[in-house]
Amino acid sequence: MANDRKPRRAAPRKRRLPPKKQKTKRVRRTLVSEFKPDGPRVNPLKPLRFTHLQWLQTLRWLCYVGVCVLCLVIQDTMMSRVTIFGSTTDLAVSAMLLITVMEGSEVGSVFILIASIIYYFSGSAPGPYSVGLLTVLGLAATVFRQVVWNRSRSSIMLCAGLAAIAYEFSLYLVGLFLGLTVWYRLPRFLLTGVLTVAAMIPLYYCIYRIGQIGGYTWKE
Amino acid sequence: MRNLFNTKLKIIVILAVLITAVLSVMSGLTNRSIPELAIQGILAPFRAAGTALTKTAERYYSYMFRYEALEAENEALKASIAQMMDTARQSDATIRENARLRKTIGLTEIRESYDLADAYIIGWSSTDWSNTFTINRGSNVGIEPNMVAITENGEVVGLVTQVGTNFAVVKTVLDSTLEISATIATSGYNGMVSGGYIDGNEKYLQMDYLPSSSIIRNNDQVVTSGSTVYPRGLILGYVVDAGFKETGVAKYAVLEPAAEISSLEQIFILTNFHTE
Repeated sequence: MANDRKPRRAAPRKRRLPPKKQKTKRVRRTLVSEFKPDGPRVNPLKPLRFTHLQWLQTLRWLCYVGVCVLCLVIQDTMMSRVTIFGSTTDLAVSAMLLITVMEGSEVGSVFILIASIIYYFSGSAPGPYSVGLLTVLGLAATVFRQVVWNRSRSSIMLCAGLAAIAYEFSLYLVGLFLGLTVWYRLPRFLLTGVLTVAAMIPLYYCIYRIGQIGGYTWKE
Repeated sequence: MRNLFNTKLKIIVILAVLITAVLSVMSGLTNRSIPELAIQGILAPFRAAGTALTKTAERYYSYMFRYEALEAENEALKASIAQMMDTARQSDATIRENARLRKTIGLTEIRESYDLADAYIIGWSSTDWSNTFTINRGSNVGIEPNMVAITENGEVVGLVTQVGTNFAVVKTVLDSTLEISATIATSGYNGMVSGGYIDGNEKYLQMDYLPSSSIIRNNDQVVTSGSTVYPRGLILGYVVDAGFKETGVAKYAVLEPAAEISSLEQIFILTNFHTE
């Protein structure tokens, strides 16, 4: 019967010995060929192969850049001519600060540094000091938001808004120090800060939507 | 409390401070940095497109909602032109008389001929203390720094401060850092004209260093007195107010700029001028 069968033992496998090295006779070549074969083909774009997530993240950053450029152009061509009590908005600054606070200190810090340098070179910034002011204030707002509050619309808006007002106030102080402005113009700078905060409300939704491309990759 | 202010952030802050310092030094040394020219060159077409869109929208808005106002303005301009033509007819006789008198006393006539490059404004600065705008022409049509920008009527708009291939930045006469030597055309008093921002008149110009004995009247025309940068006789503005400086040893005059800076669309850059 089949149950009475004893289990078969597997036959021990023979170990394969490594092939013996054959001794080759060295032959002296008298003629050396000049032909050299092509090297292995290397595709320079091969290391840049992106995963789907990486593509989405690249798209997100391209959209951020697009928003910043759009804000800069709108500010220079339209908004700079629309004044309320001599004050106008600062759309590019509001976009940069919102993106920084939204992205968090790890990524946002690098972004605000690069963005503020480009902002200065675009000719729309009041001076080179805006690089330092924007970076320091943007970072401070981001770190403050991450330490004190959870990520929410109101906390992001509040911190970015405070940074915008602080930026305008700092500009006033720098201008006063350099003799470019006079003390009684402080309300005008503060009003510019307030208008910049007001401009953040529609901008927030745009930047928030862009921030959702590629999912949340930030961590706190 | 989490320690978020880590080494990376410290490095970023130090970098920002260093970059600010370097850029401050660089901006003092030169106004033609390569990154600045490159980025502004890239942005110039976008700014031009934005301005074109804004102008189109303004035109439609004016057509739809300001038709009656434009009609009234048109009528007023027609009346103004008729008056000016009458003045021109009268001045013809004066010109003939002037030429006759010059010939009599042997006075040579000084004429200035200009080479102009036209340009459209594509962007305005929005900082509080500087008053500049960007135009859509640059070194590709021979524009260089320190060239004068004027309107089609010979009214001074400003001075070119920065030039790229396809853009140039013009500092307007309203900017308080721009100083122009000027003369009151009717009385011949000389002074320096600059933007009145610091003195609280940001939409006006201020003419300083006028003699305390000078008699200044309203609507006196102020023109450039001539230099290597500004040719003689370009209109700067009209006197609207005058007074003594705090020191009491000199007078000042407040001028309304001849060019309507805020509503400008097209300007001309004086690329060359010859005095004959």
